[in-house]
Amino acid sequence: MIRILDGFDGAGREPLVDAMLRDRKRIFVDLLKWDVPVVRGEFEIDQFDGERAIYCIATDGGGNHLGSIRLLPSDRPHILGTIFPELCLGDVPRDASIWELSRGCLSPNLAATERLWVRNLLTTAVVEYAIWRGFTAYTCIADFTWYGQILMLGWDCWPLGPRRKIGRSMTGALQIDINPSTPDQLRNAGTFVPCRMVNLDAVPAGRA
Amino acid sequence: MFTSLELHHFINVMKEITSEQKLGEVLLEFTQWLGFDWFAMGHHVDLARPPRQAIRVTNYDPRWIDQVVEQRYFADDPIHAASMRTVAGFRWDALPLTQITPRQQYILAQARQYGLVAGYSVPIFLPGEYGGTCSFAGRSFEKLRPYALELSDVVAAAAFECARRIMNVREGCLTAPVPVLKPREREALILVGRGKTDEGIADVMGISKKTAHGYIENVRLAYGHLSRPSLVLRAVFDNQFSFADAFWR
Repeated sequence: MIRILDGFDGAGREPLVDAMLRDRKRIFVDLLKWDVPVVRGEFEIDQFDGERAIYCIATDGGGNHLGSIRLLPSDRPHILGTIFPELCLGDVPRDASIWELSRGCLSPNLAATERLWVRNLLTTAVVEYAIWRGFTAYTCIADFTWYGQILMLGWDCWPLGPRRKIGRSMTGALQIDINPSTPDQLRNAGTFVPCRMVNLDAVPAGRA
Repeated sequence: MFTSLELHHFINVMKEITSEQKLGEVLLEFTQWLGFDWFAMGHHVDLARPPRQAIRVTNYDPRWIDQVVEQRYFADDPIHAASMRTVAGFRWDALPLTQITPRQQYILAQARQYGLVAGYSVPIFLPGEYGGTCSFAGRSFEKLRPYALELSDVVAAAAFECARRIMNVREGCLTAPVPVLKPREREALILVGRGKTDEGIADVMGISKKTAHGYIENVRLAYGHLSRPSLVLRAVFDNQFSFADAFWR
C-alpha cells in the first residue's frame, strides 16, 4: 500500500518514516556518495524535508519501507529551483499546481522484480495523488540510472534542458504533464499498478 | 527551443515499440531529423558472438559492418574505448582518449569511407547491466539542427530504455545479465588484473590463500568458468571495474 505523509516532523517519531530515512541514507549517501546531510549517522534529511513536503511511501503489511518519493511545491524552495536551476534551458517552472519529485528511492532489500513493481507502484501513486490534488505537472531531476526509465514510463514526459554532468552522472531536469488521461498512458505502457493510498498524518509534536 | 513537438513525437513512438526493427525505424527518422545520416545503437558485446540478451540496431552500410566483424575492428574500436572512459556524449573529432593508436586511426579512416565522418556518441551505462553506446554520424556537423547533440543525448537514453524493454520481453526475464559480484570478490578480481597470484591477493586483502582462491573461483563460477585473463577482460567489459582500477595504482 501507499501511505501519504503530509509534512515532515523529524526523525525518531514514526518507524516507517525512520525506515525511509535510513534507506535514503543507504542509497544516496552510502551508494551514490551524494554530498547530502546525515543526521545521527543513520538518517538522510536535507533542507527540503519540512512542513511543506509530502511523501508517498510504499510499504508492505509489516510496516517495512519498500520505496518512497518526496513531493515539494515548485513555488517554494525546491531542488530544481534552488540548487540546479541551470538544468532548465528556460525558466524553472514555478506554480502552485506544479510539484517537484525528489528522493525517489527503492529499498536496497528488494529483489530485481520487486524493484520494478515498487517503481511502478510509486509512479501510479504520484499520478493518482496529482489528479486528486489537481496538480498539472511534476518536475524532477533524473540521474543516469533513472533518466531513460522516467522518460519512458508512459506519461507525457519531456526534458526541460540538456543533460549535464553532475558528479559522475549525466543528469537532467524533466517535466511530466498530468491530465485525466495520464493513468491510461501508464496502463498502455504497462506501468500502472493500482494501490491503496492511506494518509499518515504528520505525528504531532510531543508524542513519545 | 530545446523541447518541441517533434521530440515528443520520437519519445512517444518509442514508448510503444516492441521490436528492434521498429526501434531502428524511429531512430532513422530521428537521425535524419537531426541532420545526420547514420546511427548505431547497441550494447557493448562481441559482435562476432553476440549473446542473446543484447540489442544492436543500425543503418550503417552492411559492407562496413561485415568489414568490422571480419577484421575484428570492434576489439579496437576507438568509439567503444572512448565510451568506456566517459559518462558524457562526445564528438568523434574530440575523443576522450589519452592517445589514439595507429590501428584506431586506421579504423576511423576506414569508417570515413562509408560516410561516417562527423559523429557523436552517447555512452549509456546502467549498473549491473551491459553498457552501450548510441552514435549518430554524417558527413559534417554543419547542417545539424540547433541542439542536435543535446537532443541526441536525450533520445539515446530513451532508445536504450526501449531496447532494455525489448530485451526483457524477448528473454522473459527482468534480472541483470551481468553477474553480481560481492565487494570482496570484486576486489580480489581487480588484484588478479594487477597480476597477483592467490598468495599475493591473500597478502593484500589480509585473508588466507584458501579464501582468496575461493573468491576467484566464485567469480569464475558466476561467469561460466572463464580463464583468469578472460575473467578480467569480461569484468572490465561489464563495467564491474575499469581499466584504471586494474592497471593503475
